[in-house]
This record gives sequence, C-alpha cells and structure tokens, in this order.
Amino acid sequence: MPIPLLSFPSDLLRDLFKECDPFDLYKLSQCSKRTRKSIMTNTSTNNWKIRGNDKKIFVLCEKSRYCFIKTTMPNAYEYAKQYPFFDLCMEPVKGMFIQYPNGGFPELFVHLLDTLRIRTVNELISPNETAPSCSFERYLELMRSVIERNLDVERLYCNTKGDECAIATFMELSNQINVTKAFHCDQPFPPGFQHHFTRFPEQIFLRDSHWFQLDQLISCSCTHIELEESTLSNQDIDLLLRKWKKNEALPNLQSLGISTKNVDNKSSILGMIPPINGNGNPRRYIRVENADKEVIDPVQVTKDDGTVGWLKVELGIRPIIKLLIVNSSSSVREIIRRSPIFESDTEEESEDEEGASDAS
Amino acid sequence: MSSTEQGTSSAAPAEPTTAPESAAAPEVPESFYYVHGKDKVVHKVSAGALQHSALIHGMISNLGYTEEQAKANPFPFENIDGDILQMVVDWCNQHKGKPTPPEDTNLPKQKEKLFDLVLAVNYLEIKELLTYCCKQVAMMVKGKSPEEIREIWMIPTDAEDEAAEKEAKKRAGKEAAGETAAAAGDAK
Repeated sequence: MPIPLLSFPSDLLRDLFKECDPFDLYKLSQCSKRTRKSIMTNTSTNNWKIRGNDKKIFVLCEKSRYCFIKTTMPNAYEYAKQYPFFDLCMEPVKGMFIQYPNGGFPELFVHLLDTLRIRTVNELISPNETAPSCSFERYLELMRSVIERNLDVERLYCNTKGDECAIATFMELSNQINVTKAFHCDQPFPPGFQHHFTRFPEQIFLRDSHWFQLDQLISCSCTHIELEESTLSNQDIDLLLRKWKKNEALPNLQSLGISTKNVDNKSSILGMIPPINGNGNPRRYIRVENADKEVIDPVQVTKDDGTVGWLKVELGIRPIIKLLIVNSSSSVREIIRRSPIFESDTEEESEDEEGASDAS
Repeated sequence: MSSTEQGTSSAAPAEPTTAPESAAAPEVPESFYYVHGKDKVVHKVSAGALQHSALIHGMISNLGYTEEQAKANPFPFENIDGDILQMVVDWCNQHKGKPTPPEDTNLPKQKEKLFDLVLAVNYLEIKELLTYCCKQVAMMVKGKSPEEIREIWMIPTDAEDEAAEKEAKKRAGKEAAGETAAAAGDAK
C-alpha cells in the first residue's frame, strides 16, 4: 500500500530521513522539487563527507561509502556488491550508476552537498589530465560554492597547469576556504608571485615555493611542511631553526622538508656547515609512521624545552633540508643498524633489523 | 498480548479483559491503565508496558490516578484506529521492561497498516517503535528508481504540485471574493 510521505509531520519526516542512506535521499530528491525541499528542511546536518571527480562522487558516511558512478545509460541501477578499496580502506562501498546532470560533475557535487546537508568536503581536487572533471573555471566556481556554504575542506589539491590569472584566483579563493588537513599545490607560479596564507591546515605541500618566504614559514602552524623549489638560504634556515629551538617558530612542527638551490657549504646552520648528517656508526633511520616521513642518518637537535628533532642537510644539485620531530603525538621509530641500510638483503642485516628500538 | 472488549463510551468503559501476565509474577501488584482508540474498544495495559510511550507516561505521571479512577477514565485516542492501537498495545506488552533489540521481529508486518501505525507511534511518542517503523518505511524504497519511489510514497510530480498550487490559489481567490461580496451584502 502506498504511503503519502509528504503528509507526514516534520518531526516524523526527520526520523524517517535519518533511516535513509545517501542513495535513498538522492533518488528521493529526484522525485520532485517539493521532496527535495522537504529533505533539505527535515534533515539535520551530519558528519558525512564528499569527494569526487568526473567519473565518481563518493559520499563517506560513518560505516560505508556511497559511490555515485557516472553512466550514460538512461536507466541507472544499483549494485549491492561490496568490495574493499585498493587504498586499503576496509569500509564497504556501495555503488549506484547515475546520469550526471547537464552541468556535469560540479552541478551534481553541489546538488549532493545541499540535498544531503554535507558540511565537510573530504577532497577538492582541481581537474587535470588524469581527472578531467571539468574546466578549471568550473572548478573555481565549485570552490566559490564551497566558500558560500562555509564548508570545511579536509584536503585541497591543485595540480592543474592553469594560466597565471586562474592560479592567482585559485590561491585567493583557497584563502577563503577552511582547509583543515592538507593543502597540496603542484602548480608552478610565475616569477614575482605573491601570496600570504591567512590560515594553515595540518599539512602543506608546495611544488613551487619560491614565493613562500621566511616570514610566512616562521608563522606557519602546520605539523607537516614540504617545500620544493624554495629560495631559502643557509641564513634563512639557520634563523628559522634557531627560532624553532626557542619555540618562536613552527609551533606544531612534526616534519619539515625543504628543497632549495640556495643552501651551500659557505655558512653554518645551527653551528654546523652543510652537509649535515650523522655519518657515524650505528646508522639511524627515523620515521614518523603516521605521516610517512623518514630521514636516514640525521643529527640530533634539541629544542630549549627538551623536544628532540632529527636534522639532515644534503647538498648537491638540489640541496635538501629534512627535520623530523619526536613528540608525544608522533610515532617515531629509530632503527639502529650496524651495517648500511638498503645495500644488501643479507641474513646478517635482517638480524640487525630485529634490534630495532622504539624511540617514541 | 492484551485482549480487548467493546466499550460503549470512554467515560464508562465495559470491563476489559486482562492482558496476560509475564511468566514470572511480579512481587508488587502492578498498576494498570486503560486506553481506547477511534473504535472505543478499551485496552487494559500495565504501567510498565505504557512506559514505552512518552506521551502516556507523561499523562500518568501528571494524573496520579488510582486503579479505580484509571478504570473509569480510559485515555482516549480518537485519532488512532482501533486495530492500530491494538498493535501498539501488543508491542508495548511484549517489550514491557526490556529494551528493544535493533532488529525487532515481533513488530507488526502489515505493510498496508504501516502509514497509520507510523503516525500513531509518532503521536504516542514510542521512540524505539518509531525508529523501527521508520526503518520499515525507508526499506520500502531501497533499490527503487525515483519513478517507483514516487508511486510508493505517493509523491506528486512537479507539474502536479504546480497545478495543485494554482488550484489552491484560485480557490482561495474565489473564497476571498465570496467573503467580500457577503460583507458588502451585510453592509447593505
């Protein structure tokens, strides 16, 4: 027997919609404008997250992932098969084939944001050759939609070869988004480019960081920082690390990686002339497990408050500075070996591996 | 399961039959209350069973009835069909004093009654039963297309909604015009 859904009182609709998954609510929203409005009015905000591209949009719920898969077939259908993700994520995934609207991925993305009252975007990735979700201009529009809705974005990625003007707009818009976990930019920037972050996520990665100067780095509150194509010099790094030791810079730092052509062996960093490493015996292998960061043969540097860090400065065509911090929130393993790492897989070396000790 | 007897009025109900007691007899005599729906059939329900309903529980707490007073004044639920109220009372009796499991197999399965049951349960504020009923209603559309959902949940199309809205506006306009004409007639 049919049930006249829209004649339910609001409190009952709220209870009913709570029992619906993202697929149910999406299909219901397609029934009529009034139904969609009812869902939006009678659904409380939730902790669902969303991410996607031109081929798939995922809605991540507490226990399951719901994947809206693009199809050109007129009859969308559902498959209940559950399978684990290749990224070792063990939550079950449910998929449904749907036709994207005329506005494509961005239109569907916003439709789902609004209908399902999602407050968190898991990832916002700019279109590129491998994920041609939409034009870069449409992507910027999508960013504006996210800003208008005051949503949190966990990870914001830009890896598009856009024109300079579009990139400047991207950076400007990124400052208006509350990026919580990671900002990742593969984009090359033009000479003289300037940008000042108004807030920092937990992690930042800049493929071309020539514009990210010492003043910004000192005030950077990220836990993990990766800067490539930097122009920081020995003096900059020295000043930065001295400030860090005195708790005057990089307050939350757990790992720092800087690739810069301006570091050389002409002046010291923390009183040491580069290259800086612990070429002694035993060798040390420090790894921040939860951030997938590692450094081999570093020297120990200690902050005034006793916090221990491991520093390594390599010279070469592209000098690299690495600093890993051991603190209570990081999981760091120190492996002390008597023989070189990665040189051979001899039984003797395997035995050394068993002598690994936990420094955390 | 509670048994029932036809009553003639809510003020003077016929003697209802007693709901079966649980196997282990309670040490303290249990108090009973009486409810009836649209059909005036009176159901005798224990206070323990009625605790599931926040609405009735609140009424009981406020009234402080004696057994006799409760018998003489069954709670009237004129907006609930008798058979639906029976289902609800049965469920409350079955779950007296114990939490409802997430998947309750003792619940009414009649799909054709689900709509009325949901409304009744919502009105009586029986939270656990409501959650289950909502799950049942939501299950009706799993794997269905929007067109099928529209049929199952009687959802009008946009065009139908627009037509209904136009019709309602037209009717409201006519009524307003009628009232104006009547008022003018009265003035004369």
